[in-house]
Amino acid sequence: MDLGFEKDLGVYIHFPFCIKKCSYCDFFSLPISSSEMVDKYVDSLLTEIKMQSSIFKDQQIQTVYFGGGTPSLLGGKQFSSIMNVIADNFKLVDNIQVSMEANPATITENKLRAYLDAGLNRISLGVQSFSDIELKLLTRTHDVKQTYMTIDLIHKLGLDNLNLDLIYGIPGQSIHQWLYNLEKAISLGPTHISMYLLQLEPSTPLGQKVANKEILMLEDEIELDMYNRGCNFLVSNRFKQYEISNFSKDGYQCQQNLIYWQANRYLGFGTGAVSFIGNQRCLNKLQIVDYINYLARGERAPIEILETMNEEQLIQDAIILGLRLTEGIEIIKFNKKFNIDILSDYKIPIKNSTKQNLLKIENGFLKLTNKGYFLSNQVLWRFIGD
Amino acid sequence: MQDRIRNFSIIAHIDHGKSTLADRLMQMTGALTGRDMKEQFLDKMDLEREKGITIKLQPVRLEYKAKDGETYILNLIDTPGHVDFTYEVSRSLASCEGALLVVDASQGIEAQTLANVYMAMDLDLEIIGVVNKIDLPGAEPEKVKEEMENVLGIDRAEIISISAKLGEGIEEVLEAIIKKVPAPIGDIKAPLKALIFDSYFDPYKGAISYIRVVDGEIHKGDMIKMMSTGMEFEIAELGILSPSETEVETIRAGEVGYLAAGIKNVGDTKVGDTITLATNSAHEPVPGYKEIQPMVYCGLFPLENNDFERLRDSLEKLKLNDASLFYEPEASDALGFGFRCGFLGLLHLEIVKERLEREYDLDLLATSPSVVYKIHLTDGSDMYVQNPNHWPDVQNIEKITEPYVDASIMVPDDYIGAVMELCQEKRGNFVTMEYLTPLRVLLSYKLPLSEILYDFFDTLKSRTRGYASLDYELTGYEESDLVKLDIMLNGEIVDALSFIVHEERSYFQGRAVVEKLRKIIPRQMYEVAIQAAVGNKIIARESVKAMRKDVLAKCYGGDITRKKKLLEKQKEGKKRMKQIGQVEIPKDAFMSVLNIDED
Repeated sequence: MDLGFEKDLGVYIHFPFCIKKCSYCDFFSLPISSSEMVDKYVDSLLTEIKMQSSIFKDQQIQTVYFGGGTPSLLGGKQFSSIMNVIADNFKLVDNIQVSMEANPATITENKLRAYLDAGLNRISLGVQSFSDIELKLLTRTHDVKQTYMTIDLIHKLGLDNLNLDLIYGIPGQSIHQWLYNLEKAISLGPTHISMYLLQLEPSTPLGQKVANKEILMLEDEIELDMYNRGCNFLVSNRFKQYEISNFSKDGYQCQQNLIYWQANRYLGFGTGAVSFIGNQRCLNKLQIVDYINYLARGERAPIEILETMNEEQLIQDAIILGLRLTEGIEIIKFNKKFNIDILSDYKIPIKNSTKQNLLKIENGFLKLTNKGYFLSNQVLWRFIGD
Repeated sequence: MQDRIRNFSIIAHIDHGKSTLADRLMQMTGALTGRDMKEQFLDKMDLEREKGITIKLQPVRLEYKAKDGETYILNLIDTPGHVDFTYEVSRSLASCEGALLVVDASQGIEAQTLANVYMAMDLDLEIIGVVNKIDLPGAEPEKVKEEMENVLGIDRAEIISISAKLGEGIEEVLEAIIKKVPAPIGDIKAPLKALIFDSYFDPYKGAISYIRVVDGEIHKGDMIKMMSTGMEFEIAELGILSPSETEVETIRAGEVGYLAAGIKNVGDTKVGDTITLATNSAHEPVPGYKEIQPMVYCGLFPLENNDFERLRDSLEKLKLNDASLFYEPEASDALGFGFRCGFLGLLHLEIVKERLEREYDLDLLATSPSVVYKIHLTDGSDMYVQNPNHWPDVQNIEKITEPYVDASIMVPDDYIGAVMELCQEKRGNFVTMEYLTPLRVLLSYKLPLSEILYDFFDTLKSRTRGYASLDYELTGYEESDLVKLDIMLNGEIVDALSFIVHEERSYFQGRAVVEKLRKIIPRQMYEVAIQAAVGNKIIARESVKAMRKDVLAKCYGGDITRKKKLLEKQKEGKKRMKQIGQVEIPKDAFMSVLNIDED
């Protein structure tokens, strides 16, 4: 069974702190409490990375990704200490992509310079919208003006690999407003756009309001229209769609995300981070204080095994992730990797999905059709279980 | 010997505390010690406990040392408390000389109770009035006693006030049973006559009959004969219930017990039948035996087509224990192979379906219930139709008749208007209205059985704030203008969704069903057109728009596991759907078609 040990790894660093939590967010994050706490957390991260590196020292690291939370709240020195400990303890590929999620209005010129000096070469900016009204509904901490300022700063310091995150399907959003947001976004010269449909967990404050019918979500038809028009707009502006929600200029795909969707292995550090090693996904448990205390004692913080997959489950996992990519699954390569014949082993789900014009086989690749993207669950669930 | 025996039943409305009182009687007489006492011992099946109703009878023998110093044998024969099982109630009552009428001190008499008391009076049973739950804050025992006196002629001075929950007044009840219920007066020398008042199936012993010996005596090893069929069996085991089965050699006139005789099928030991000896037989059976006829039919189909054989086996096993269950194979274009099943009523249907799903682990789909229509054809013949898909062509129909019931509804007089309105909506014909007390009224209506099957009782309860009670009795067939209403999905008739409806209401019903289906059929890849039609005429149309969105916009390293679980759940959800042509329908759609909200 292919457990991915021969592959390069991705490294994910979770920074759980935010200035304040947004109304739609269900990621693990906490309002930042004290700089002392952040210091301790970073120390713990350094310890954890060192500890784990001994196990994976023979494998190369292909990407480093700082996610959160709001990792752009890290100080320049804190960031470089993390990068140093990674560089000292792992083998890194030459052209390693080091990416960080950032919020507008959290980056100063000095800090950004320090990040870049320490090796950061990609920023993913949580812009979300170019309407202050929409930003307010999402309870983002920034406004549109701060977005412009932050992007100016990024350009000024010469960082070209820039993703902008945008959200569509915001309650009350018009198609016109959505296209305006996209137009504004590309006018700022990003190399990558992620456009996400707002999908609310009931546990989030905004999700509650929807459940209580205080706020209405848009009709499915409108959301689909936004998606299709968004795709067309970006493609006609020389962005290439490479995943259901992701678009980039040539050569600027997010390497970390490709690791996820190609079902390759990754190490997660920090509380709430998930690792995919061998046939298991496991989670660093969420209590920050516990995490800090364990690592201060030189012990590994508690983890939870989220899933242990058998061979068939690993294959299904690779299929449902691989089909998110627009290029799809390269049949020959996939068959060789898992020693199967996907077209006969998954004949029924493939037949039923192609019949509905959601899935197709094209030039040796199994992939979603354009219609299939926004209906992808209708394809993916068929490949799971039994 | 017989003068120390008392055979009695308890008549009570659901929730008026019958089972609790029975438990107390057992506790008081030592048949059940507090320690091994599960609450409500007599309700044996889990389902009964859950639904808080008694479905199956469970007799019990109590030994009571009375104040006069003598020890008496009291046989308590419990009765089911639901209108579906009226016949079984009548057979239980026929096995007794007396009945406790238990009425909730805060509720008063209910229609169902009244019907059962009248039945007991017809059988010449001595009625002992008991007012229960006097410990409740809303209890009005004096008012209830007055009502019992006015309505039933029970002397209010003789009615006993008790709290079964607290154990108050139980001894008085026991003493009243001794003093008032007549001892049995069977002729021990006469040929054997034993009335079967219940039976159940034991996997080791075969069918077990609960019997009341009326005349003569019965011994282990006797050759017995069923008087309705002439079938003969040898008694392998004879016993009494105290309360668990305890073997004895002989049961004599006046006594109650059980017997096992290697009977393979409960259908061969029919409730109401009389057992006699194969030689020296009795001449006349105990009167009142009836063949039970199902009142309601529906299709039961396995959700997985290859479960058909398993469903057949399970029905066979259930039937061993439930002689009133009827089934025969049915084929549906939409649903494949299943069974057309007949039941005593909707509760019976629900219980059977639930037992099949729970005890036999089947996933079932039930089609909407139907009564049995009697159609006179133009060629002069009659046909009985219990399946809408067997409805004859209109040109061959001379006259359609449908079963009617006499319904009695008891209600506080504030709600007379609401009840009359409801009965009107349900095509009822007013018969009489009678004041039982200055504030309580008994309304009598003739109603089509089909109209009271589905939501009548629930609607009645909700429109009278729970105060109304209902009883009904099948009276016969009356002519009606009925039509078959078909439902089409994307232009194809779904046979399993067809039903019979009164012509005048076909538009309303058709629209309501189509509207309901629109709400419960989830969006699919293609638009689904839902139509209702009578003959070739489309009377209603709706559509379910095509699915436009089913996507997880984000799926990254940290939440892949969680997102995968969502897909697994989605796959699970598919199992609750039935594919009909190109359309997937939730399996409960078939049952809910007639449960349309009328408001």
